[in-house]
Amino acid sequence: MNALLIACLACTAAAAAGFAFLLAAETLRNRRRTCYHNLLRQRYLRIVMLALFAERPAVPHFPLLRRRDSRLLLAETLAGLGAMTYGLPTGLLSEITARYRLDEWLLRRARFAQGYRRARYLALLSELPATESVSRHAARYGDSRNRYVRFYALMIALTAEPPAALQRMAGCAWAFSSTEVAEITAALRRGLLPIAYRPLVASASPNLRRVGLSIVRQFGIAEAGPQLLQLLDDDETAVAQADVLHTLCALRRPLLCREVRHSLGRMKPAERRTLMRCMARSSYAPELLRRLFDKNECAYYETIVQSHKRCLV
Amino acid sequence: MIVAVALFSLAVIALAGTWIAILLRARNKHLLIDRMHGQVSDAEGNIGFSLLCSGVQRLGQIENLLSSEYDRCEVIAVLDAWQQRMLFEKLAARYRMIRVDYLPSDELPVHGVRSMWRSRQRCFRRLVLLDRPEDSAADDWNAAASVASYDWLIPVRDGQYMLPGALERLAAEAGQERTQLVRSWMGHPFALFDRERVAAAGGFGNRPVRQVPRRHRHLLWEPLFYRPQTKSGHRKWQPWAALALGGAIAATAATGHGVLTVLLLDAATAWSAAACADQLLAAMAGRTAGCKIGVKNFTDS
Repeated sequence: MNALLIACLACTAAAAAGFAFLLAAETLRNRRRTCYHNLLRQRYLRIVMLALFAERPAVPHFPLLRRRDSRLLLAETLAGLGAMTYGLPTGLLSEITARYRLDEWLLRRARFAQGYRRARYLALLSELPATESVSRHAARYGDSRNRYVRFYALMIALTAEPPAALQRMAGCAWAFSSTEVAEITAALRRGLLPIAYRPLVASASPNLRRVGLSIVRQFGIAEAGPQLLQLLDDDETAVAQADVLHTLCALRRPLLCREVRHSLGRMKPAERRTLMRCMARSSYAPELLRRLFDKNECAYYETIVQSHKRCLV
Repeated sequence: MIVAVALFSLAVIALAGTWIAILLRARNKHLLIDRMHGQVSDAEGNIGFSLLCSGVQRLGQIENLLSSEYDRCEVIAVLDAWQQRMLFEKLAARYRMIRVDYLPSDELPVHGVRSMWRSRQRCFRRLVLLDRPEDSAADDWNAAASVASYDWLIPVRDGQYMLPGALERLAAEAGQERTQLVRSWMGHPFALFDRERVAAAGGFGNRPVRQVPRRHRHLLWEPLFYRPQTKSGHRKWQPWAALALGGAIAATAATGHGVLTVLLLDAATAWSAAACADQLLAAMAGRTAGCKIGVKNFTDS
């Protein structure tokens, strides 16, 4: 019994000491992040901006880079700058990344991390100017169980080799979620990927089609209307039909056509109501809906539309 | 006796370890999603949120809910204009509310709505007021949901404030495949519902959470809503309490009271794990020492 008590004492003492140590580490980390990290991040951003606007851009010197987490802060600064700006010349950013070996360092960190931490390092890598060697090294995470890790491994491949982007997206074994499509579209708007909606919308791959529809919505490409109507007519793309109808609504295209009626007939009542709310947000007149929906559904639409008006008479 | 104490200690250590591991994982996910810029832009198109407020007493809470930078959201407040005349008039004046027609729909069971108002003040075009006699929160939420424009519903109670970036974070979660319900017990507990699920359940009164299959539920371990608290003085006593606990452990160990020492060490484990969890949650909420993030969202008038 004494031995059990001594073992129990040792275990609880170790656990208490461990948690106390973790508490101290977290407290210090939080304090460091709010004070030191914020200051250093601002300083790095200033240095990069000055270098970018200099007459002869040269790789600048970053102070305190040997300190803990400083390299991560520099990588975050460069990635944030790339993600938030349009048409930024990436030459200097690539030189900084190469000089300070940020990509190698992030890959090493990703190798020793797991789960969301690994995905975070890969997300940073995908926002830095990527090279083919990084893409080759990140390819090993393409089969990860963590969805975010898989996705950011794909993003690195897309940004490293834009000409092969369509092939890689089509080759994905999993269906993209809305969040993932939004991330790809955001990268595309920064000019990292080519914008060519036609092959995407016409593609047989559901992933490519979703990205294509997102591009059409984002850039308001009204010329895509006829191609979208063709998609509605196609029985093989029944899954994406709600997405196509939402895109047509976002483009404010006329909906009184055979393809739309055909497609609406195949939708569930709940999906039709969701579409009606989308149509109300896009300001479609109730008159139009009387020809597309039955009487009860039209009454529902009129309650939505009327709630934005005041009848004076 | 000793076996029972040993089992109890093991349970305490296991629970504390699991709790901290879950929070560390949640923090890593939070840091990752902070880096995702897609949902901040207008790329997701179809994900919009309607915040359904019941029993709101303060103008500051409505201001906080309206302060989100996510563009596809609206706040629908259900008030009794007879009982809360002052607040109703304040809101109508501040947001220049205009009365619109209210037509009941058959989507959810709603009764007793007297009038409906929409804001027209620039920057605050997304506030809707429903005048309705005071009733249960579920009935208020049903009334608000029946006029909501978006497909994701967040029921909000009195005193429930939103942290900066909460809707962007929820958009990332709602954009995942097969999500129908997102919940979190951290900070102020909340739930995000798919509108069609609520309609299928027959409203908020019929426990819509139970009707969502488990594989469609997402549980978050990070705070997105909070309840403002007055400055509590317990933090400055923490070092003294820790010192007293350390002294007690040393005293019992020196006098040979093994069982008591183990129990005190268990208390120390639980206390340090709770303090550590508090630090992690504070970091996720952007509420760390000396931090002045989102001052506007942390004030309560």
